[in-house]
Amino acid sequence: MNFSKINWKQLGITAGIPLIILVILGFMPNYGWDYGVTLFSNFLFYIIISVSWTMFSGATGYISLATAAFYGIGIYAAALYGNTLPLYVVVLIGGVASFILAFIVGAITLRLKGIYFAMFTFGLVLLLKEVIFYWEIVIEGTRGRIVALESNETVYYYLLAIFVITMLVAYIIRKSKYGLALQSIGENEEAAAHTGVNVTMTKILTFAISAVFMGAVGVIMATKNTYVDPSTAFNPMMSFSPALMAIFGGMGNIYGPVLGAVIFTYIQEILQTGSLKNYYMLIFGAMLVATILYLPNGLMGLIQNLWRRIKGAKSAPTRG
Amino acid sequence: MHLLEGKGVTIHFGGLAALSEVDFYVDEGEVVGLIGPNGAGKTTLFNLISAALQPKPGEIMFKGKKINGLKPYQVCRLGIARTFQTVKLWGSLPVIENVRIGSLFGAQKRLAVDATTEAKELLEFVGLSDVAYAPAGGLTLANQKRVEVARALATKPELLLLDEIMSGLNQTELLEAMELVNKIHKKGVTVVVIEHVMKAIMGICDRIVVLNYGKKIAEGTPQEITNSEKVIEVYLGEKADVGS
Repeated sequence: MNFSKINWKQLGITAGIPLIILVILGFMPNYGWDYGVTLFSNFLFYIIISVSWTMFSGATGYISLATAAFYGIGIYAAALYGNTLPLYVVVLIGGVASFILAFIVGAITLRLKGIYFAMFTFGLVLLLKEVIFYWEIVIEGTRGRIVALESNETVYYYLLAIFVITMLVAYIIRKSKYGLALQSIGENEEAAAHTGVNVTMTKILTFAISAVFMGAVGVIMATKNTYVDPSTAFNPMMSFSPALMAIFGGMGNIYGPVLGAVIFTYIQEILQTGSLKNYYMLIFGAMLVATILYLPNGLMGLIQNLWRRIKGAKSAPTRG
Repeated sequence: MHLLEGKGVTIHFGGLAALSEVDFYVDEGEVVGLIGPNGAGKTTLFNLISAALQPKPGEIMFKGKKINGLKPYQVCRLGIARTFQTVKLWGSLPVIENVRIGSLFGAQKRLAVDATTEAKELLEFVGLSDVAYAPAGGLTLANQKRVEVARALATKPELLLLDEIMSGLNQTELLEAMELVNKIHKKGVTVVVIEHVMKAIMGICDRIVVLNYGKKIAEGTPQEITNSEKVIEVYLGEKADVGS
């Protein structure tokens, strides 16, 4: 590293703004705004899953619908160990279990291309759900489990911590040579393989790393309710939401999925509590279709285009 | 010992033998031409050498070590790089990033800073310094082929497989491409070229291998090949055409 080449002004912006936001978020529970804590917990939660989803799927173009599976693994980790082990250990268990599952599933399925990979990963969600249902009803003779409840503040701080780690990891991956390798895989896998990129390992590892956060966040979200069963733990919506949010926000930039998650979550909050609650899926759908048709690079792409125009497009765009 | 050697290399696609029992070798420092009619198995042979496909049966040795059974990235890291008949660049990435990936993941892995320097040097070498930061997808075909060459060179190959880098180029571009192959050769890289442009092949190759319907039908110096009855019959056509 050549330290004299560091652009301090740029470093101030890239590190300073996130730090300020982090401090504001850090004191959130002290503002006496109870709804704010719940709302921002939701924001953080959806940001975590859409950013971690984008880590793998955004770069490689392999659309994974397995998010609900890893999330559900986390929920079940909370149900199984939440009463006996400290919460941070359970979060680790959820993350590690998801990593292992994703590694195995990745090793088996990442040779599948396009829609086949999406279908298989979605099948994994349904498979886990049915297997656990079977296990509970036929073998244990129960249905669902009790989860130890945690306070809103605890949930919030855990989410904040996972959020910070997720963003850091996403940032590091994107800036490192593996981020470049992932992009090259997404654009032309054959060329990547012949240029020395260990395509299979890069894909499997990134898939598994992204699953860690989905599992960890599942543990935390499980403690918001006292009861879980396979249908709530392995809810297919949890597979679609991160993909929709990331596409809406734009995947060419680390802030795209963040923006998408915040806007979608907020709209969801408004619509679900207002008089339009029966129509919110419909509105989501329409928004998504409009995004894909008119904003192929998502909201972030639109913002970048506008920014470039304002700045007078001094330098040629380096990323499409 | 040959740098690259194939023994009885065979591969079937369905019932069709794309290559059958081809023996070949490439010595260090050579420029070898691989010619033959469309569908003769030239690109298939490249795919086998670069491990995109596996021979069945047959054996391919690089520096005395068997390389079939390895993955493409392993073969690349051993020192065999290739370009593609239909250009396979990462179109939305800037040209320099395309080349940097080669430096970062190739035979001699570089640190990020060194990879950038090396990529710049290679772009200079192939004459693309001006467009280093433009998206690779927006370049002309001739330039995209040059980016592929630069990317392949960035992996630090001892053996470079060039698949039709001269097809579809105009006269000026063709001369430049021939010059580029000569420059690569002078760098000490052994080159195998697939080409249909006879003038280019005859001008740059030390030795030529001719394939037809998956079989090797001739091998020799450009002179011997142009005079071979068999090659004229299946590929070159009338003698008068050669070199025109």
